[in-house]
Amino acid sequence: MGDRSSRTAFGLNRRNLFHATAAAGIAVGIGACSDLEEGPDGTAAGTDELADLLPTYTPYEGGIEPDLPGQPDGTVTPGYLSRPAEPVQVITEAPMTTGEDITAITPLWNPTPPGLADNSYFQAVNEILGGTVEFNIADGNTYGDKITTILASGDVPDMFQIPGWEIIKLADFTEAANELFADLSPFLAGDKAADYPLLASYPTAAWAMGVFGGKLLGIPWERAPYTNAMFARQDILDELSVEHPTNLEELLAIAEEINDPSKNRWAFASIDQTIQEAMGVPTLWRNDDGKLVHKFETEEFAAAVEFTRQVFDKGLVHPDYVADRLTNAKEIIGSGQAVFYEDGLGAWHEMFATYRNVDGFDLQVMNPMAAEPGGTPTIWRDDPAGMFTFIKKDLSEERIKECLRVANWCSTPFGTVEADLVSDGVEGVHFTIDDEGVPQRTELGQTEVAPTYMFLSGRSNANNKFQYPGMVEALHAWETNAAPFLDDSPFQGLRVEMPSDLSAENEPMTEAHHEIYRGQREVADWTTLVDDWRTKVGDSAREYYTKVAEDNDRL
Amino acid sequence: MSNPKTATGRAVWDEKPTAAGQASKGVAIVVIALLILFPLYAVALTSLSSAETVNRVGGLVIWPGDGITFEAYEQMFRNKVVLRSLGVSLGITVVGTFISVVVSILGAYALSRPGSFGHRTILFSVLMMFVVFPGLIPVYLWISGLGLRDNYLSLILPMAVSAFNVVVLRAFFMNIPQELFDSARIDGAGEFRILWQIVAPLSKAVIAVVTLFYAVGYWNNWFNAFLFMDSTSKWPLALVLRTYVVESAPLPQTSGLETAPPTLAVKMAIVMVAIIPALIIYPFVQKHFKKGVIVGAVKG
Repeated sequence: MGDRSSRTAFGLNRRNLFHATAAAGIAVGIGACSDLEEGPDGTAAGTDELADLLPTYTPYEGGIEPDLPGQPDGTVTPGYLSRPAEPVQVITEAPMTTGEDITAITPLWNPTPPGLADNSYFQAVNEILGGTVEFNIADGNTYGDKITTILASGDVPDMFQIPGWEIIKLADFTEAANELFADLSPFLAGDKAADYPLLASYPTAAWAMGVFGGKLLGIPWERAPYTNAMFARQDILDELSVEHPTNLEELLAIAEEINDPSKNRWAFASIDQTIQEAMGVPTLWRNDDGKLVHKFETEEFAAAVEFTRQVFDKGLVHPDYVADRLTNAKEIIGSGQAVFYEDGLGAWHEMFATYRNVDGFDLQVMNPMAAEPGGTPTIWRDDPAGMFTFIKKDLSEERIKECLRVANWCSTPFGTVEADLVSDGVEGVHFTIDDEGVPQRTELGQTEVAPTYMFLSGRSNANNKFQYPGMVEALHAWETNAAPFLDDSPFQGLRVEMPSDLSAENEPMTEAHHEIYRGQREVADWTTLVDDWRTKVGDSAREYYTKVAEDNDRL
Repeated sequence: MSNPKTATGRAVWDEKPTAAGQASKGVAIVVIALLILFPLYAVALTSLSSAETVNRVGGLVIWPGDGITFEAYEQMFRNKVVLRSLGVSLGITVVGTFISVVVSILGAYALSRPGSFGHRTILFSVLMMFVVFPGLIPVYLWISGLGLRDNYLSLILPMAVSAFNVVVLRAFFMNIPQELFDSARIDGAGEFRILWQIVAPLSKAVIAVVTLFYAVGYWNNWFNAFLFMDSTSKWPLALVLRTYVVESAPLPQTSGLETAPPTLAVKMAIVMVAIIPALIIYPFVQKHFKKGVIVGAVKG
């Protein structure tokens, strides 16, 4: 009871009211600064029309050569099979020269590091930077609350990391960003970026995502385009002498073969998007002869729902996932209670890290599957940048340049001394190199090093988990196989903020088709659900997206 | 309407309970107790299990097959930030609770005396706090304006007075017989003497409950620290522990280095550390609950 009352008094009222007041708060904060028109229901910025604002793409030549070459468009990440014996130092001059501190707010998804005064990692990196970066670290899972409050107050730090997935939740972010953050085009557009060679090496599509309201405000962090893959417990498949399936028919047959609840083993710990991709469902919209069709409206989506229902009906899915689609499928896979599951590619090495002590644990990624032999899957395409660093607007020109130099320094790629400092700290203090050439954190490194400097910029992706035998090669091969099937979205290269009413309907629709999987609704209900969705938000969303596409000559 | 009677002429609740009735009550109590205790048991056992056991089981451990280990607790407390935050939390809880209880008692006592200065207006303002909250952003601007960002006071001031607790205290104070106040005044006691020597001793029950409410509120609160405390060295335990419990984001790393995310055992150890203070304090305060809250709430 005490707990309840205390929550009522201190917590729940505030949190509930927060959501109601946050948007208004931002509007108030902005309104105080200038006269602005009310924000649109969504915004879009196209690469084509913004080319003049962006840095000229210049590949960076100062790093180490990858063992497995990548693709400049980011569809295949360069692979590194080992750590260079001597990492190269690519920036010799300290980037901070004004003598003033840089304040920064960054998210954290790791255990809390000690503050600056007690943290030798911060002190060491700051010394090399030539000044002090003072971090205000905030819990990444509630980072949206922090961003909203800071933006509304107008009291932004010199450098502010804001993830794209938080930006799309913020009404009027573009207006707020234009009021509070510096326009970087005067410093970076075209050949001016030559002063910041690492920033100039980001793909143009990633930079285009950093344009808000016609101005280049955000330094992007490049993101690989893949959102989903299916993984298999290879050790279990090997034990059962089963090969990877190459299409959905084979997947279903193999799943039935290996599924054995009496042995506490199910085929799937999670299954949903892989089937949709195999069926050819688009990432979000598809251009059907000049008309935009949302993925929910496609025949392929209906077919995927029907197929997945079969998988559930046959009892091939772990009961925890049947009961709750948000269950932790990783734990089910880790304990060997299921063989297949789907996740982001980034989860692969994390699973090895988590289950490194499980005897024989082997997880492998499965090649993209089509619905039928010889068919073509659609691999969903993610935005080319996922996170952005903003620089405070009212800083002097010299201070903005200083922040850009810091961002440039923090952007150094794998294999450089600077990248080691950003990620792991000082060799011999915060990490050591083991006999296999793999960096390992020291005890000090484990408590003091936290992802912070890396959020002051973006950087090129690197496929470098060479400590897990075969992973670099397998990931490189997977991306090479998957790249041709990447969804040819009509909005590729455009940053489109999803209208809030459309995003609000995503969750109910997702829940609805999962209810069909679980047998709580009939497969035939999907048509009605889509009709309702279309009336509610689908048609107006189509209108909005059609205008965006037409404005950018995509339709 | 007359009371339901049995053949013996007695009300049903005067009858001797049947064996079946007693047994079913017993079963119900045991089931309810298990529903409460089992999750706690699973959390405690998981926190005392090795990472290997947790991985093998694939979730919470409910059978102590592989023995117990304090590995998770050691891993958690190895981070000196955790120990430091424990001190911050204890300090904030003790100081904050003291301030809150004193201010609430003073406020509630003044509001319980009819005719006190600005009585109706202040009482109305307090009651308005039930339905109107200034919102996060004004509070943030207020704290920033006072220059209290990164200051421990920012963890205390925004939650120093709870309208609910003031109303509960006031209701309890108003229930104290007027004759006691009158006789004290005849003996020459002023308001402060009456409050500390008569009202407070008679209100131990409700004060204990309100103290608990405040203490648990301060102990559990992480959100104010999340907003106002820039330096991790000043974070309270609840915020530091959150960073262990939340899922790691799959960030692209620039080196080949890999550190394992906190295991489920560590997460459950954190849950235990967070609830242990409440588990310790509750049994001692529970006896006051009925009197403290129900009397205060109903007779107001």
